[in-house]
Amino acid sequence: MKEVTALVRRNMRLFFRDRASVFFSLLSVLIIILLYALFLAKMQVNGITEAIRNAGLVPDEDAIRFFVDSWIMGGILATGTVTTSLGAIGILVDDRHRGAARDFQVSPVRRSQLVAGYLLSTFLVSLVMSLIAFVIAEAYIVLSGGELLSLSGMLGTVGVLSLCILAFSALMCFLATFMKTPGAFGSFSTVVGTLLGFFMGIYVPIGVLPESIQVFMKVLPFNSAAVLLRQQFMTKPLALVFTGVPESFSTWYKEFYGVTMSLGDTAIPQWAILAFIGSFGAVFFLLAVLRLSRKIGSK
Amino acid sequence: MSSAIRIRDLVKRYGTTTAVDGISLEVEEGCLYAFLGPNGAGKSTTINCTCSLLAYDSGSIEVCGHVVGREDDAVRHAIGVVFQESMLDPILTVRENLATRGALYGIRGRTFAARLAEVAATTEIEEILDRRYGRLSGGQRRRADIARGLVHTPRVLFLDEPTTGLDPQTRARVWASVRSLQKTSGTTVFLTTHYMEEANHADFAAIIDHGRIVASDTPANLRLAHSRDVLRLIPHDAVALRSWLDAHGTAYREKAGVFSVLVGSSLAALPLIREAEPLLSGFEMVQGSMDDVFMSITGRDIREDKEEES
Repeated sequence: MKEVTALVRRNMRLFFRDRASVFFSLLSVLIIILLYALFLAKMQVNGITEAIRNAGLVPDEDAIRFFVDSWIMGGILATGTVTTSLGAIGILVDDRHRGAARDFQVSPVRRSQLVAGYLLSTFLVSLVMSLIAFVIAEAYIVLSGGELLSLSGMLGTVGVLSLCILAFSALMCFLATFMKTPGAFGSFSTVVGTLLGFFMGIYVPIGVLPESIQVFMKVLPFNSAAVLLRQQFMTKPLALVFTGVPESFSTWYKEFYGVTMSLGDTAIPQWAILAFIGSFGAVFFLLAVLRLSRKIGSK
Repeated sequence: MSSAIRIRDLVKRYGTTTAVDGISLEVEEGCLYAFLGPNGAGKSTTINCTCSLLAYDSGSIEVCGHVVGREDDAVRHAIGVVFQESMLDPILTVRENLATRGALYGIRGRTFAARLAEVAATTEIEEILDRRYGRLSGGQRRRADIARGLVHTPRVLFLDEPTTGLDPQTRARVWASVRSLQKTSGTTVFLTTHYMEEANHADFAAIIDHGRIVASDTPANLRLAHSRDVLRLIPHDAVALRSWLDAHGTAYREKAGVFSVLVGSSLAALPLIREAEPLLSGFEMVQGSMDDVFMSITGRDIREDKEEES
């Protein structure tokens, strides 16, 4: 076990000491925040304001702003769980490329300990980075006039973040075993970072997209992660925006913004989404362990 | 005397190419054993098989009495490996690197601190312990690599081309480190090199070519058996010496007024020098080199091989 601790410490040091890798793994989060603050926020706020006015009600602009901020931040945190896992597992690709893996192999450390070292450090790095992103997100919401998340909301967020990070770091560890060079891995990261915003319904609400695309997004776990986080973030703003609004109206809006998720006419309960991500993570955890054991210690 | 390494009929193939073709060797404990040969001769493959990194096709390898392939854990505790390329983490300090590697052998805390002081002294890296590995010079890195190989007090240290790419001064320093650790701690050292002259530092040398050992003995014996010394004569009167040598039927080469004569050994040159003394203003003996040994055994110059590959 102490061997694993030493490996985890080493992997985490490698990640956090390389300022560039820290920055770039947060970069996608920062880019989306910037895009959002500059362009996307206004569009969403206007859209909702108009819809409420059309329904014959008086819109509360501050509440709507809070609503949209919380929506985007929930989504951004979800992308963060993926991109930071990806950033952290770059160490594995480097080790295999540089040959450090061979150096480990001539020492009496067990493959399982190496695998545990990579998985654990990826999880921890991603958790630390996601918590940093969480703080930034909350600061953004509060600074633009919203409210701080309740304690239960915060705990819920940390819980959901942990689950998502477990699942996605397992997935990324698995995928990283296919990347032979840091160059290939870098390109892969770029592709993931670009597509992720769409798969999670960050740039535009999922409801805007065609039905077939929506179904595709829903069967992948990425959107589900965003849904779970939005549920934590949006309890309060939903209540503020939709007080006195007919329930059918708010139900439609929740679905449109990806705060709830249904397939066909069946609403999918929160526990089912949690179970979905959990089992997705479990499958890829096993696959990652298998692949890593084969790839790290292969003679 | 027991053997630190015992290799019997080792064969390793990559597809249809046979990289190692039936090598057998024995390395005595505490010995500095040099494995010589051109690039691609099978040196690294042999080392990798012996270090439990690479599975082999047939034959057997024992390190400190443990069978490689069956008792890898015991083998790995007993060996330290310095690879040809740098394996330590560039953005960590030397101390952090050594601490991580030490922990893999269960060496931590006070045990590690004590051990670190020892290896740092042996490899002369005390001043660079807290510098990042990636910012060190080639020679400093090499010494840190060797310290890593020694961190768990291995009984056998493998060094794969430890001096390749280093300047002559640094090479000498690396050799001094290797020599001193072998002398003071009795560690068995097994190293590969393609600098033939470096074999002179070893207790025992094996020359490998095309996956086979073509000669193995002490460097002095190898030179004795496979190389000849050269006597260089500097005459007062070149014309007189030339006719004298011709008259005695001695083969020579003349270049820039210096006459080179191949002799069996330095002693065999004495009568010739005595007889020709009145004609000479000076002479020197050039000892046969390991390059000559390689050339006379394989019929090729080791450097030709290098040219072809690069």
